[in-house]
Amino acid sequence: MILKKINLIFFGILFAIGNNVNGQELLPVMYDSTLANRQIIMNGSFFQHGSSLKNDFSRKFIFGGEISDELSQRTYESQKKYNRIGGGAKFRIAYKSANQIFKSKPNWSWMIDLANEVHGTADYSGDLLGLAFLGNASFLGESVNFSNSSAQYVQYLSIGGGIHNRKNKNFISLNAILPQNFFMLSVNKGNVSFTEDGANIDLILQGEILEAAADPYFKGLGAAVNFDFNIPFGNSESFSGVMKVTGRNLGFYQLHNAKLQEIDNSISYSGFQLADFANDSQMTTLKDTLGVRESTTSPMRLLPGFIQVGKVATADSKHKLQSTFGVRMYTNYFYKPMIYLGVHYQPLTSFSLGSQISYGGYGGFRLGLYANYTAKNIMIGIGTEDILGALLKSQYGHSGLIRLAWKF
Amino acid sequence: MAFGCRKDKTTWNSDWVVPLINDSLLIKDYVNDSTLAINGDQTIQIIAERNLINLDLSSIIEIPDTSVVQSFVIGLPSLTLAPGSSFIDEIKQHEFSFEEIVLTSARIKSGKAIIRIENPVSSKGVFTVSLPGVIKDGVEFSFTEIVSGGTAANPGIGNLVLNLKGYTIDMTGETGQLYNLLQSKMKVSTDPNGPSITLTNQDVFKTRVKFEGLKVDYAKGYFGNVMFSDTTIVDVKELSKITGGSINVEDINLQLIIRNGIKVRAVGEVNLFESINYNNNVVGLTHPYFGQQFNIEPALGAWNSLAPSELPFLFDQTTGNMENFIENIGSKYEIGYAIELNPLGNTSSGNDVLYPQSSLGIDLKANFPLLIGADKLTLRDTFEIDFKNDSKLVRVLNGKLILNTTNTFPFGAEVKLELLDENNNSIKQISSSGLISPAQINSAGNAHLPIKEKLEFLIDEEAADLLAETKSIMVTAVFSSTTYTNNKVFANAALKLLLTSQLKLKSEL
Repeated sequence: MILKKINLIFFGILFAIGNNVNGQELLPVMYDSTLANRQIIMNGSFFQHGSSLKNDFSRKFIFGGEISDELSQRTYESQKKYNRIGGGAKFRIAYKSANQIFKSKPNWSWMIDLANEVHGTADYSGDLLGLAFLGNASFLGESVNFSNSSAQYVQYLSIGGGIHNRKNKNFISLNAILPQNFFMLSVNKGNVSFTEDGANIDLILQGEILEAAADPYFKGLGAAVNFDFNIPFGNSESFSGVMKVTGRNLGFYQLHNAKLQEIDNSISYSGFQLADFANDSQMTTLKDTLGVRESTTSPMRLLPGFIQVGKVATADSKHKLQSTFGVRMYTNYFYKPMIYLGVHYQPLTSFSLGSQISYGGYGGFRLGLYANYTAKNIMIGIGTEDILGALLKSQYGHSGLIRLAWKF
Repeated sequence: MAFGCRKDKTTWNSDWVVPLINDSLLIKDYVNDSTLAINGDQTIQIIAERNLINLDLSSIIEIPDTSVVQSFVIGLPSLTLAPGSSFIDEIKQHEFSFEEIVLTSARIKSGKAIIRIENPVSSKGVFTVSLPGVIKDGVEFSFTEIVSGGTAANPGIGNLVLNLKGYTIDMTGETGQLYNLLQSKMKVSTDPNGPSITLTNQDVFKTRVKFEGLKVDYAKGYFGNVMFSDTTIVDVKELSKITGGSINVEDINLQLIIRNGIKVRAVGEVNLFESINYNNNVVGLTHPYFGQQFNIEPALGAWNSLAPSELPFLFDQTTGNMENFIENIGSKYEIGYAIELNPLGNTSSGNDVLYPQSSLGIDLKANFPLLIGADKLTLRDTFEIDFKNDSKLVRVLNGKLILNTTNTFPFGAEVKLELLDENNNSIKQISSSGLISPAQINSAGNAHLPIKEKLEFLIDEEAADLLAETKSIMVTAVFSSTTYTNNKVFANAALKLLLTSQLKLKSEL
């Protein structure tokens, strides 16, 4: 009973944090080869990054407020023909035991790993954004093309366990994936034209919407692996360090009885005729007019996981200044491989800070900043991958990272 | 997700222009469909031929459900028969029980014969039942059924249901001089492949033919002295939307024609024809023939050459008060009439004839120029709507409805909208900024000049807020014509409508 209550509270906290913190797990973690005790590690992160949406606009969605007509117009004008945006949030907690589990491998122990994550991406034409935020009055006499636009949103819980090496900090865990929300929109062909006087609308639409079934609490089931592998390279006389290969949420999930709506139609609408309003005339619904075909399906989907390979700073380095660099790739086609290059400065054993510049992902350049404090039993790290985004409205994203670890 | 950081919702406004109604009312659409025609001076002539009332005449001749039973017993104590021997072959005559109708011939439009056969002997019997004088495509109604054997107490039974559609019944009997008669013939043979059988005078062979639901489309005879009379109220739904104003019609010339397509003499009487309008004003239609009996002659010819008799009631400038009657713009009409067939009895000597195409009804024939004036003629109609303006995502902030018109009718209109709640109470009036003006005649006097106009219905924030509780919209249109008298309508008369909405939507996330 007590265990059940603890579980409920824990899932409640996961859910609450997962829905209030926006995230990604890449606060640089120093490689530490000392033998670890039992640990509880919590990671929270959020990020939002786009190719063309400036922060003065996107902050209205983060902090609320009215988007003025002038801001809508300015934002529309700053869009490229095609744009992308992505974002996510995560809260992850892991417990790493100090108990030996293999006789022949004294450093290996077990761990459990729980997380609540959300990830959303979109690929859209500038005109589509203009249409949504300005209305069609700004497009009379013009066409709005939104072919090849798409959007996807998924939120899921993951729960699992694995093994970790207390010495080199490698770990691998296998997690069950329990999706709670899913939505996907994909438009292969999309174009809407308006005549100058607004008297006629021509629509060409070929696409589909896939959304999770309404009823079950968990909309499907999946599996994924998380891992960290630290690979030392070089020697003390040459360039040396530790390459860290990080994998998160590499796996699949299957949605059960998801609702699929497919559209392949072209419509010219110029208003109803008076006879349509006659009593015996049946007005068609918008869905019927569009020729929406509905069905249920149970598709397999790739999780929005990522792999990052990069050099990390080491805690026992004799250099106060170390380099960090690497590449990160998400398992979705919206995300372009992101490369980063940074410096790590450790003036004191208990304190370090660093900065990195990155390019790619859902947008362009970003400048990151982080700081770590390590005491006897605890470690606190905070950072951002986009410090300019936190300060300037003219930037294209936001990012926040926090990491807490308690050794006992 | 990000929403947890928010103090306020994210909101933005967007402007949308969407066409709602796009249509044209063209007078030419009604030309050449026996409603309107164009005169040489391009004015419109009403040339209408309409069938107003058609009475169902199949109910004049109603054949009651009738059963015909035919049974046979041998006259000897016993009789042995070889296989395949015929031992019964007899005709019986049966009479349909009509009250006053005397029929010599009838053709069945629909109905069926339900046949039951009883075989009292132990071996199979071959039963042939035929109805002499009941013919379709030159072939007599006949069927043969093999019925399994039985006993006198529990005879073998055969059941059949046959469709009689299209059969003509000669009801004059074997002599050809009588009426209302139907003949039946039963023939029974022993099984040609069975054993010899011995019959006794206790073995009863029986057939029963039940005629059910017979309706005729042709009948000849005397149809009796039949009276129809009724007082009926006809509601004209479209005209019930008129709530005020007046019209002026001129040079009316139309005929109401009583048409008789059966070869039966009749008399009739129209004793009531009243129009009741929106103001409960009653105008009775008058005519010299109304309120007294008039003769309706029988139709002439036969089958394809059948020519119904016609009794016209002419309404023009000197006869009747049709103009006043129409100008009352009644939405309810009360009509009382009586028709009596064969008022003097069987004067046709049994030659009353009903043909498949026979009908008794009232036709309208009109031929007069379309000269209609309107003075504040008010039409009011209500349309149910379900405008979900309490959506949390998108709602109308304000805007306007824009009605662009191009009018070449000599009628103009002022239009008002009213929002009604679920109890049909008015919660907001939306007036237009302009009106549709009546068109003016061109210098050649053969057409009206098109007038383009734009009416704007302003939806302010108060009206937009009320859309959430609006359950219907009442549209009131007040029509007036260019002139009240001699108001001609020309062939180019048309009203092109384009109603678009220009709305500012507020989106909230």
